[in-house]
Amino acid sequence: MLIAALAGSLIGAASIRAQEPVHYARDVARILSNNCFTCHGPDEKERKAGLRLDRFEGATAPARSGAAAIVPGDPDGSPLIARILSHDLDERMPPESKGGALPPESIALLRSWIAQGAKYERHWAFEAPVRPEVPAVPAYADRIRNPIDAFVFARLEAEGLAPNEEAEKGVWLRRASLDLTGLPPSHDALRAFLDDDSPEAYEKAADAMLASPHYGERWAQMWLDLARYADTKGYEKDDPRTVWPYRDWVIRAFNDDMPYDAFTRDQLAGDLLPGATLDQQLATAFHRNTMTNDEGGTDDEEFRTAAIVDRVNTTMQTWMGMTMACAQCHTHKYDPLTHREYYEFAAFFNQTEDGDYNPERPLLKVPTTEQQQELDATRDRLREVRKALTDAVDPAGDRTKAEELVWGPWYETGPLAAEDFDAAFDRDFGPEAQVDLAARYLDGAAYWKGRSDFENGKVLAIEGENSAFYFYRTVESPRLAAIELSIGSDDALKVWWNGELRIDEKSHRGVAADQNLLLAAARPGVNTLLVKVVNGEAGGGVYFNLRDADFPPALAALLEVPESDRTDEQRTSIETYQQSRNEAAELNQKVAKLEAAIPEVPVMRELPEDQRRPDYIFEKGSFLNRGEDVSAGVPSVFNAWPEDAPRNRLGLADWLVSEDNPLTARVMMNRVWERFFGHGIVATLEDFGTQGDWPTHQELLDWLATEYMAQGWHLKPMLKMIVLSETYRQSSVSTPEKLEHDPFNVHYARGPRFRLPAEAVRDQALFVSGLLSEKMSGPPVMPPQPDGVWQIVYSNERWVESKGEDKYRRGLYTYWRRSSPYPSMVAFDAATRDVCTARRMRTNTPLQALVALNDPVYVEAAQALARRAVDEAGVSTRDRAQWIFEAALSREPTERELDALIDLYRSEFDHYRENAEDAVVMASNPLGPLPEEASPHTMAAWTVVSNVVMNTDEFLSKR
Amino acid sequence: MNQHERQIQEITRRHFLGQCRTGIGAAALAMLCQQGASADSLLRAPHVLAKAKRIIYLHMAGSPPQQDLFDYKPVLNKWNGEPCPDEMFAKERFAFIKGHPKILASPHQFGQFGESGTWVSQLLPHFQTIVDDVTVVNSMFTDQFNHAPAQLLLHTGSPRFGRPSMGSWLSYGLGTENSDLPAFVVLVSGEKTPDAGKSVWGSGFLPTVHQGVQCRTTGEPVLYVTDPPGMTRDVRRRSLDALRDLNEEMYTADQDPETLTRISQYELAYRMQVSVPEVMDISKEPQHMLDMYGAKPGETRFANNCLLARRLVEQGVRMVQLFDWGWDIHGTGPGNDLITHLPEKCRLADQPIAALVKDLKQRGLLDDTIVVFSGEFGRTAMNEERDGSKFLGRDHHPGCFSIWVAGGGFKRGATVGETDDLGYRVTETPVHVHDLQATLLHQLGIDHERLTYRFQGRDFRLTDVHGRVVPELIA
Repeated sequence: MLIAALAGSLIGAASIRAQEPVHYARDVARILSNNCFTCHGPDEKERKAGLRLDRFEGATAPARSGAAAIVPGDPDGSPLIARILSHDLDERMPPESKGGALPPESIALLRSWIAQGAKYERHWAFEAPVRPEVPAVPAYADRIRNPIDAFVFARLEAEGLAPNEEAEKGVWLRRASLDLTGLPPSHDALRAFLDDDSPEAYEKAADAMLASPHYGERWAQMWLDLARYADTKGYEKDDPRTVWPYRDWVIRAFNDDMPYDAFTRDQLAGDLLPGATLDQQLATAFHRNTMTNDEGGTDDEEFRTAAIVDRVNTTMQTWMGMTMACAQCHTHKYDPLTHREYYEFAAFFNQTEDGDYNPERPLLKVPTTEQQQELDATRDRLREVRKALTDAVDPAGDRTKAEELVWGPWYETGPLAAEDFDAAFDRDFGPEAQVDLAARYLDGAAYWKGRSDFENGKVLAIEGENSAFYFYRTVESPRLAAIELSIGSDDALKVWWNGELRIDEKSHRGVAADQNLLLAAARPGVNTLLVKVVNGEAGGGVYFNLRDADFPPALAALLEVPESDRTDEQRTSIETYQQSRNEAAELNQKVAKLEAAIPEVPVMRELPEDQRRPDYIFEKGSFLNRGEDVSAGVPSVFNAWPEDAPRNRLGLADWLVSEDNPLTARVMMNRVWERFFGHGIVATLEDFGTQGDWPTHQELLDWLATEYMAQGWHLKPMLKMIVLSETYRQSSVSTPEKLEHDPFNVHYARGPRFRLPAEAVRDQALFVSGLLSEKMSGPPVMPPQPDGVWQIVYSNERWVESKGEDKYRRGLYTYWRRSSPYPSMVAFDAATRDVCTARRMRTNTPLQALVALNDPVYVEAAQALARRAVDEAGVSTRDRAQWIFEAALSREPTERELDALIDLYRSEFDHYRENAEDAVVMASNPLGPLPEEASPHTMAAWTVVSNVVMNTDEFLSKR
Repeated sequence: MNQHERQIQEITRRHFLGQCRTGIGAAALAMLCQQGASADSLLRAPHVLAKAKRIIYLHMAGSPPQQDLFDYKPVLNKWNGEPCPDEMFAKERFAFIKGHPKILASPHQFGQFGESGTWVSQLLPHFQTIVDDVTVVNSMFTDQFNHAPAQLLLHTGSPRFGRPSMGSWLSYGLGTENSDLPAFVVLVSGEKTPDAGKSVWGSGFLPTVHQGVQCRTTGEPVLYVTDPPGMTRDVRRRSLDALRDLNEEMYTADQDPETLTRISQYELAYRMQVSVPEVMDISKEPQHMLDMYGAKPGETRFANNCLLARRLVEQGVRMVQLFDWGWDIHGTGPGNDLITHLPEKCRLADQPIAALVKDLKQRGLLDDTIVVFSGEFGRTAMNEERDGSKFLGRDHHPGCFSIWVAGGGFKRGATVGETDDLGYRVTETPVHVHDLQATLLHQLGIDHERLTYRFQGRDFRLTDVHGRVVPELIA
């Protein structure tokens, strides 16, 4: 049973009437390619009857039968039509085996097309846009504010539609504010705008919104969907990836209104630019947002090539609105893109260092501003300290290396017990005056033993309570040298260097490295070291190491002067030297720590010449089937390769932003238009090819595209023009007539009205309730999410709820895990960001209702809005209800709306007065305890009212 | 908005659209019905005669070893411990096996059961009792040998992220039979989600309304289905009444039909708040039913999910997808080996699965409900011996594996397809993953080549550009 799944379209082929011009590319190519080209198309091997219908020359030249299939201007005389209409099943085309009879609409189109001359023009989108003349529309002359309106109103007039009146000022401000900043206007901004009667009020408001840092946050969201930005790597492990500095770069680029050509070059080839800045290198993370597979036992080359394929598709999709994916396996069926061209294009991306490695590489260190400042300050201080070191002591002369010192073996005697700890520490058991390795102590009970097990840098355990232990060794130096010893002890410690008591540390402690440092002069020849450790209770221990010998000889000379003989200047020099040295060590450690904390972001980097990979076709799209070799190039159907451009990613970027490129500017303007009006001028944002939708207003699109380039690829002036246009300012009120004539508002006889994107739904709720944090940038955050949403195989990653204001950050800062995206965002159609997404769906589901009604994030927002109302509005129920409504919707409620809220408040007030426990919970879970003076049932009732207002269709929509 | 988009919006709008209580809501429904399609599904009639209406897919995530459960290979015993023939590893890509691996016979006994004489391992005593209702397929194969890509291929037809899963396709193509419940429900046990994460029940480029809704057996059954603490059903009802008043006022002003849809979706949400917890509450099942499945209310366990699957399909859910993690039998330790771990996994899964098939049958649901049991790929005939492990286990193997299907017009008491003596390659009736998908869709009345969706300028379908219906499986 055959079922026609797709119904006719309002703006598609079916609406073309006989007299209207029929376009080959728009109307005919699809019919012919779907029904005829298999046997009468480009493929010579399959061609039947010597007839090809994909070209004018073929269709109008005599075929094997002797007759031409198409006689231009004469449908009745064209065998093509006769064969299609034939009742003889042996005669009729297409044959039953190829789909059978064509539907009447298709036949009508073919007839009209032949009648009009059977012109095979090239697809509109493959020709560079030509700046059209702006039409004059006398009927609406007083309402036309800029060329956008001229194009739109000219069409309205032709369609017999009249534009709506302007929307109320407040409605426009909320609409524009949501569009430009992703947030509704603040109460103050709304007041100021409503009070401003000057002719410049709209322009001033638009400028202020475009200058707001929230502008960049809102428009970055659009780009991050294309860039498939996420905070994880995808596939099985889906481990975290640090790439948020790229997200922040995108926000900055939009806020700085970076021209689109530079924006393009930096992201595709920033690393190849001469003298690439840190930001330019960072921008190349655009194409490191591809997924990598860290699952055990995977073939890196398989997933490297998968990433290349993704880069090809994403680049074409993002800049040119073309889908190349088909050509990965075979020559495109509809668009003039060949299998070979696909791999020529892929060759641009085949020469970067990355390759599905774990850990990822290459990485770029991207310090935050704060990190950079602290690092700079630390390094500056380090320079000063180093200078102080050299100023204190003459740095010249031969330094001593650790290995030049010759250490004698360790000897130990002990435990030498005393009656108590103090006595053991104070008493000289014999060795302190003079060490004699043959001597015996404590009536011969103790004597010197070799301790070869006492190793440098390791703790040696000792046992004996309230006892002393002596350790002795010699060290031979080739010259007069300063050396630094590190000694630790459990517990007390005395150290004699060359017979002089240098450390006298009476303490109770556990042993560790570096507890006492001794800077001493080693004389040429043999020096002696005697260490006394006194242990109190339980076990003890001792630690020894040479910390450093690499000192200037001048320091050794200073140290050699006995302490009592040193001049003040000598003493100061030694102290300064020691302090500076210690500080330098600390600073070095701090620099290392700071550097380790700097985020490292995967970026693109070209392979060296001698490591370049071969470029070849994958037969049937599989990396295992090597086909013919290719070299980098762009599809021939588009603009020519720019002269002198290098055959690499940089040249590719230049090609994309060349003024001859037919698509780049159009695609961007179309994408932007869709954000404002809910659908593109070309509805298929992702497909400008022959299978995509025909533009509803091609001249408008071409004008916008050429204007965009004329504006130096700056986006802000274009957005400003759109929001200030009369087209955009119209009220979105519909009428049965308008719905009948234009149900989806493709002619713009009314203003836009559609549901907000996922991020805006969340941001708006937090904003009107006063909870939203305005903090920008930085690592992704984890706002509240139900337990158990993250249960991941082979991974220890956990959702750890962010603290403080990070709970209330804008949606685009939410941690984006590809295999488990934030649930409330998904409910509102956010993309998973697995692949480049040009357009999000807009659905309307009960799961959305459950989120906005019950998600603790939204309940908390309702509680906060209720508290604000009680704080900031008057005391009357009416005032408060009105305040909540206005705060959420930027307009005054009607009487009926107000009554509905007041009635609800009263019924819930009564309910919660009877149910005191519920009242406390409703008003404070999860926001936190109510202020002391607040009445729980009042606050609970206002919370319910706020929850309702924040669930209205109007709140969830832009209108 | 193009024709396609319009249609999607229409389908979305009606997907959950139920009855509206009063006034303008009813008018909305009438108006929407006039606007376009008259059913809530894309297909107004099946492409082919539908044998089944719904499907329960039991995915043993990690992939159980076919040699130890279904594909009886006595020849392996002869060669056990011997180096395998060169051609079994020379040109193969393995996940973990290194060097020249050795043949591993199954340490578990097999026998023939039922009138059909189907070979089954001793590990599945309950399955032995349902073999006459089942078709075992020993000739499945795939082209992916890592978990995430293989699971994606199995459920979305592509080894990469971003494509809609089979349940989403069914929701898109066939809609739901119960507007108070999602069309596509997912139940997970074994403590972890599958390796490929939620993408295996994602809607890809299809509208998100078609993605699988994960129902949980502990905590909220569906995210955010519970009213906030401190709010009673009465408060919710009154607040939704006020909300409807506000929305109707808005509709009067702007006349956007979308506002009417919003009203009805909130009403549906209100009903789902009751219907979802109700269907998910197995404590109301009689004790003998709980015992039959081995289910325990309040716990997250595979047995509970099997019982829930029956309850859900009974209520008209189109596809129920069960994932049970823990079948990745590598033999790197006792936690994933053939001797200790596999019997334990079988013990937990065998009884509830057999109970499910019997229960569906006794309720007359098996005739038009498909039950599928599968992993995502097969396992090697060789011992993995990773890092010299002494525990027995098998590496990933895409070349062949076993699944079974029951009900929904599939053969009963059959074994289809064969592999070679060592159980390494398919020798008869090869069934690729895409073929299985094509066949499942066929039984549900869908021509897999004609259920398509245009995205990025190309028509996509579940089976990509592959797949054929396998007549050998069909009764």
